Amino acid sequence: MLTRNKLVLGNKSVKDITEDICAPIEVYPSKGWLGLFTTALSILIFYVIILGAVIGKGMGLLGVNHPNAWGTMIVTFVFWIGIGHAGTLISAILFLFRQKWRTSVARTAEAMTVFAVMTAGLFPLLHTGRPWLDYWLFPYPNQRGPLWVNFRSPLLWDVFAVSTYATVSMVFWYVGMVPDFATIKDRAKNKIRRTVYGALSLGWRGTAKNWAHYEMVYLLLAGLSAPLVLSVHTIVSFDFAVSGLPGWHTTIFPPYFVAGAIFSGFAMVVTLMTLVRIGVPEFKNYITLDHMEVMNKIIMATGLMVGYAYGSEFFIAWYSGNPYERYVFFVSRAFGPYAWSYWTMITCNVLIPQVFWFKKARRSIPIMFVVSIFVNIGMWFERFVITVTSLHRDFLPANWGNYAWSFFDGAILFGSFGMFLTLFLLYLRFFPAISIAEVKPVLPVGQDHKGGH
Amino acid sequence: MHRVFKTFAAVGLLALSLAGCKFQPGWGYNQGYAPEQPLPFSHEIHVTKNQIQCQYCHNQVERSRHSNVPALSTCMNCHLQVKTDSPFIQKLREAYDKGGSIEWVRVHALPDFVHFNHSAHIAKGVNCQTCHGEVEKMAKITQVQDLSMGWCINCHRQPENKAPLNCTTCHH
Amino acid sequence: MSEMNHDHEHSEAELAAKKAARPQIERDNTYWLTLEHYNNDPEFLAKATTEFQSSPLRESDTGEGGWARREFLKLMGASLAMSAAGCIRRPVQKIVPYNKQPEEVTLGEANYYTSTYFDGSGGFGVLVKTREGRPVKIESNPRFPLTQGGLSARSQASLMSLYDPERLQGPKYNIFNEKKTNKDTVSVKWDSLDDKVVAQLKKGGAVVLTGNMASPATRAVVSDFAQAFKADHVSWEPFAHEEVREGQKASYGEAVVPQYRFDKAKVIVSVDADFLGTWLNPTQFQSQFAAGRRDPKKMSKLVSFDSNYSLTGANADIRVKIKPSQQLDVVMGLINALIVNKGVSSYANNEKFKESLVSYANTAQKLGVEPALFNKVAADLWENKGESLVVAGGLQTLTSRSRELQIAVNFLNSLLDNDGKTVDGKNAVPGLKASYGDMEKLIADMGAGKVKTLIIHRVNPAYALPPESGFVEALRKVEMVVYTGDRIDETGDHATYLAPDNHPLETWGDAEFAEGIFAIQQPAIRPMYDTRSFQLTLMTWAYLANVGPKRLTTYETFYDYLRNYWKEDIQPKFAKGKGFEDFWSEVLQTGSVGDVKSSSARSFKTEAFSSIKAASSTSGYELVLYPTVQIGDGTLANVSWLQELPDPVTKIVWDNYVSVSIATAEKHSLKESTIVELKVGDKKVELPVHIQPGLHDDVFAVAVGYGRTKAGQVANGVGKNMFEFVTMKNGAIFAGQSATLTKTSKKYNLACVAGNNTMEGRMIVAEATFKDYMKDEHAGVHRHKTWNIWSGHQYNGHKWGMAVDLNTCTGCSACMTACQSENNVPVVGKTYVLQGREMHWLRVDRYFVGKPEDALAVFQPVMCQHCDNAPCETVCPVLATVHSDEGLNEMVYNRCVGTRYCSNNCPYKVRRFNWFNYAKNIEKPTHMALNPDVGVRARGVMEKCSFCVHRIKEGKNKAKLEGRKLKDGEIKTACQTACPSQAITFGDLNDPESQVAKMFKNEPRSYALLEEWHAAPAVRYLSKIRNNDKETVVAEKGGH
Repeated sequence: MLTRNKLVLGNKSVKDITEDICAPIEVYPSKGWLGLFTTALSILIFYVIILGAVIGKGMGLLGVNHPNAWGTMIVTFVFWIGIGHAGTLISAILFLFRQKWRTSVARTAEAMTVFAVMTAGLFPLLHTGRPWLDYWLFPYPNQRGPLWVNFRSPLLWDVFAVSTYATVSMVFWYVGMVPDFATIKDRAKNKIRRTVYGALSLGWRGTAKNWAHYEMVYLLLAGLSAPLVLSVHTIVSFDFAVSGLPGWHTTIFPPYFVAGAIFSGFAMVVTLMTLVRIGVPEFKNYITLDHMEVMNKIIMATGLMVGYAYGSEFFIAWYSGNPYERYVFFVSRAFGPYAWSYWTMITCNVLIPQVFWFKKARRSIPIMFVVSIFVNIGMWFERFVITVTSLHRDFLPANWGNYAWSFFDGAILFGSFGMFLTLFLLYLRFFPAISIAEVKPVLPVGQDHKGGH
Repeated sequence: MHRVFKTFAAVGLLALSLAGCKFQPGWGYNQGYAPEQPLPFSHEIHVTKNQIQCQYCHNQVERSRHSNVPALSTCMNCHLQVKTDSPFIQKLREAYDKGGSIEWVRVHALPDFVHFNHSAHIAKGVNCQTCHGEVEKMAKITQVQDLSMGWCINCHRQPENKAPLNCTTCHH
Repeated sequence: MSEMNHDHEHSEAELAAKKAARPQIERDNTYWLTLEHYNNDPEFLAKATTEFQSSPLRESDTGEGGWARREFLKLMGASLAMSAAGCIRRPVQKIVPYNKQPEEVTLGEANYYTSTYFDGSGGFGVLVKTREGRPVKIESNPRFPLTQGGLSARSQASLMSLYDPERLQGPKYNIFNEKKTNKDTVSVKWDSLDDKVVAQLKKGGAVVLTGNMASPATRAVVSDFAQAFKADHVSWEPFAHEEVREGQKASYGEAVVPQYRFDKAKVIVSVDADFLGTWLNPTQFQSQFAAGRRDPKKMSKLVSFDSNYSLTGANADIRVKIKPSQQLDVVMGLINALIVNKGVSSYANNEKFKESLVSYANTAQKLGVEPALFNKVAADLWENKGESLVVAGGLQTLTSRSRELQIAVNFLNSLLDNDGKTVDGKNAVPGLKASYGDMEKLIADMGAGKVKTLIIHRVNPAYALPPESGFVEALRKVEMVVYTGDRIDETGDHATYLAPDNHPLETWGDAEFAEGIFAIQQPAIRPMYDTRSFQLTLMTWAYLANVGPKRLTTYETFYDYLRNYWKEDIQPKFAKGKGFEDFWSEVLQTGSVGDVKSSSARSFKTEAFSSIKAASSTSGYELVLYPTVQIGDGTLANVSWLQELPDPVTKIVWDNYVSVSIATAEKHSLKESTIVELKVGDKKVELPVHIQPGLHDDVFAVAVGYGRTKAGQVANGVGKNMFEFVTMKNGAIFAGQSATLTKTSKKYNLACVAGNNTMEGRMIVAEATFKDYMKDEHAGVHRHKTWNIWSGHQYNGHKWGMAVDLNTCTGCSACMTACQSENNVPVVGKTYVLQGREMHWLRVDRYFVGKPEDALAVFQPVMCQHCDNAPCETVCPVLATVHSDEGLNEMVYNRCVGTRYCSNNCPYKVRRFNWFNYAKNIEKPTHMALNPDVGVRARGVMEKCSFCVHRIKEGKNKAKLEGRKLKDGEIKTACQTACPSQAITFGDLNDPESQVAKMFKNEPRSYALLEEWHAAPAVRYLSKIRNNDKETVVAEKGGH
């Protein structure tokens, strides 16, 4: 009969787990962490300066132009939002399906979600011509008549979708951490630490009542955020699908975007987990190769879905007989001035993940790291292909024009990683990176180690 | 636990009150603005006491988008004889003879992206008072209405006014 | 109408007062890479703040008063500061009323003054729109008989030359060193300048050098002056049209530039005469040409033999690419085809005559066109005897054989009985007297020291003459040079005194653009600086020297002189038995008096024909120098509107370049904008290459008018000066010089606004041949079935719509400048055009059709289509672009946050985004040209064509105040009024009687752009008909 691999290796006792997981928070930060953090922080500062310049001088600093009115900022926005999806998927949906293996990776995945959404959330706000008027995007009582927002505009749906998603995933993440905060508080030696974590733990006492409420809230939030996983990127895809532009105006976009999001999300989780395993070696026992393998399987599966979407777009373009649509796919995308980006995307997203057909590759840390990086690159280019190659050659040939790359395009993309990594590293340092409360129950305590009954 | 909730509540309230003053009517508008003028010109005296029609001085209001502030020559039509002993009139006279002018402080100012047309409203039979308040009772000119967009729209919305509600009615 | 004296001299006290402390003008040129920073000259700034906002009617401009009006108008006019501000407490603003109310100034209401525009070759009547006493737009004057309205891009841009910050502020004196190699410029008073000049004039040996003068009164002043001081008068212009006059003289005995009647011609053959773009009076010719084509069933046929891809060639039904040396062959070939092949006319039996044609027998083969086509052209000409027209002229025809070409053309026109019908030599264009020959003589005299004083007016020889002419050297030998130009430009640099003339918008004048048609030029603003009109300058000198005819010395102002001249010399011609005052005020009202007269044939001097020698065959590359529609001879090069106006054919801005054919480019392995070295004899220049479809393989075409060195911050260093390549030996040679070209390794960027040259087989410009059209009026238009799932908007009042006739649109781009001027559209400069950020609300798309090697062109003006199912409206999150109940797609700048989603979703891509704060770059005093009715957009907002909604509002309000219904055609958009061929119609679609409604409903040629996309636009295009004997249009395929 089938026996399941242990979810936690190294015959950990319950105490060990607490020790291991609290360690990074309680000991003085390692050289590795400090190195990474300073790098990330300096990138973040650079990012802030760049954004300042763009807000100060104008969007003209980027490569956006006529007809490519959207560019790097929107591309990178969709990219980060996509990244955000894996977290909620793992923590909420897998929780609902009672997937025990999720426990050790869920926390970090969620953290990633929250930070990715934070990073992404900046872009739609900053890419406007007059960011200081962004509050007009929210419906609020005013003296203009009052003048409301346009509920028909996908961009507005986006505002709601993203803000909801950000809020819910943040609450879900936070609630999950409450018991662990309490643990840290109890172990705390000095006063400040005790008060801070005390406040964070919302006065958790670990009573049966506490636990009962906690379980219920967590279940409800899981149920609440599960549909969001699908809704957010569906709505993000509407930004494109609802418009009339050949290459955007496609019904396949919602599922295609969601699949792509999970694809890129898991890739990012794998990237980070491999880094965590390197950074905090004792976590190897909790984030085991089995976890990695499962995620690699998901990557491969979603990769295939995305590949299918690419194919079907071409088929529909041909089948529709719409000359503009056909031109976009069969001329500009595949062979136009931006063919390079298209083929990069195909290689990274469809071809490379195929190595995961081989168990060896699925279980090899170096390979999966490289693959996950490629997938991340590929997914950024997917959004670039969708946004720019559709815009740069549309209906009236007299309008055609290429994207006017500038230094700021690269700087913004690069800088956004600075923001994300800074947040993530701070999280590793101050928050329990693995859910103590959830890992303990999946210990093989009191089970027959020989297996079978 | 309660401590924590208190903090939350406090923060929430603070945020709300801040938001409140942002959206409280009149905020950022010049309602009630009544600056000192270089000469204490009183509409009350001219309109109520001496029964001078608005259009006598603001004579272009019926044919132009702007309601003109009268040229000094218009004032002088009367003040060459009337009240010549008043120091203010003398100041006016002086400016007039020098070929100069008086720098009145503007009270009713709309942003530059608003194109308001006086003649259209006059033609429709809108009273000056509707927007400018009871000027004939003002010793010192004061902005009575907040002149916000909502205030304009409010009137344009009334079906009996048959007023256009297009954005380009004012913004272009 | 205003009748005051503008030419009075300013008193010193007044000047001093003006120079009194003024607030410094802050200028920020952060992004304006092509307009470098202008150094703040305090004197200029001082004047700038007082003068410009003045009313032409006001009294003195000193002290408080000046301040007052300035502040007042600052409030009333369009100021830039607040446009982005939301609800914040505003800074204290001042209202400063007039001292005395000028009775004709109603604040906020525009005044219009009839005036004229003249560019040295052609001109027409215009209206000058002023607000609060400052000109804000040049409008068309529909009552002007020669054009019936319509403007050129340059005429409208001349407004900006009035507000050019670099104009001279007053008279200047250049103190030269011995060798006149170095100088020091100082300001002088008019009095001292006058004294010096008069003293000098008394020495004799004076010469007045002017360009062509359309103004009869000015001609009178100059001749009086010449008489007074025994001075010579020399006319010279870079575009002299000398060849036409000489040809006419040889053929008919009179050296005139005839009137051409393109409206009366059924068949037009143009041999390199770019009459629609740059030759003589294009605006007039366009309206005539359009008149002959407005009804496609009776449309004329235009055959163009084109050595440069000119605008005329681009509008030709049949375009044959030639090289300059073949121009004569074409005309003689046609004559041969008629007389020898067809055997028509009395010459058919004149053997001796026929012999002279032998060498031209095989022209068709020589041109590489099938003889059938060539003979058909000849046949068409003959069948339309008296209703055909053959023209040749312009720089492109100035080869060594230009005179022969003209004689041949005249012979052909006489042979076809066109003379007196479509060619009117009797009512010629007066005032076109410019001559390179005279110039050469003058230079010789100057060199010989015969010229003691040289007065130069309205020409810039130091720039527009080739160095080999030795003008500059000769100029150094002249004791005193007085230059009346408005800046220290290439010529002003060598002048002893600069006596700046008023800008045409500041001064009185008149014009005679055709025999017996007199137009008046009214000032619209009083002189902004301490300048003095050229005419008054001459009069003053004569007065001080107390010489010359009475009328020259009696009048105190040129205005009085002018009135007297009209009283004595012009009114009698129109003896309507009414007093002069009535006549005068009537002229001021209508802007002109007199009308096009009928003509009669002249007898052709056959002996002239014998001077045409046998055909010579040349080989190798030939250079063609041509003027562009936008820049012309470079006089207005410092106006950024023109520099950023795309060339109608190449669509390139901010440069001149060598156009080469595709084959030639391949032969030399040249890519677009590789830099090449162009050599003619020992002259060489480095220019970028532009690969031009449909160009003759042996032709290198380069535009003149660029490469100014002292025109100002806009024009300096833009392109290369190709006038240097002109060869001067008894006349000027602009074309046909053999040239060589060598590739360099250098790269360059030409800023081209055309994204793609072909339509990729899409139905964008619907086109049909004449034959198709006669069979089926819908020919070339593919209709789609479209349907709505919603009921659509309800329009109970008006529903605005526009129709554009692609068959009369010539692509001249006057509409683009009109739009730019009307709607305060910013200029962004070459760097940002390269990044695809030009701001034109209305663009003219140009596509090439047919085989690339002889591609035909089509034009399509594209403005916001004001769709009923507007895709932009649904996607804007903040409702900044919405639909009005009159069918307008409204763009609310102050609500826009700049997500740019609307632009992405617009299939026509007519929306423009303010990537930077362009308003900040509006430099004083150019801000005076802003239209106060249209907001100046802030950074970060979207903008687009509004169908001139402010004009719609104005029209509706006017009708309401007058208590009447709106009349059709009462509201005209800016582009519509500017269009010389009246291709644009605007009106109310809900009014079934309106012209535009009829076009939408009944006109079979009308179609909606991208109809299948079903945005349901409120613009209809009328398909283009090509009158080229073919069964079907050359397929849009190919041409990549």
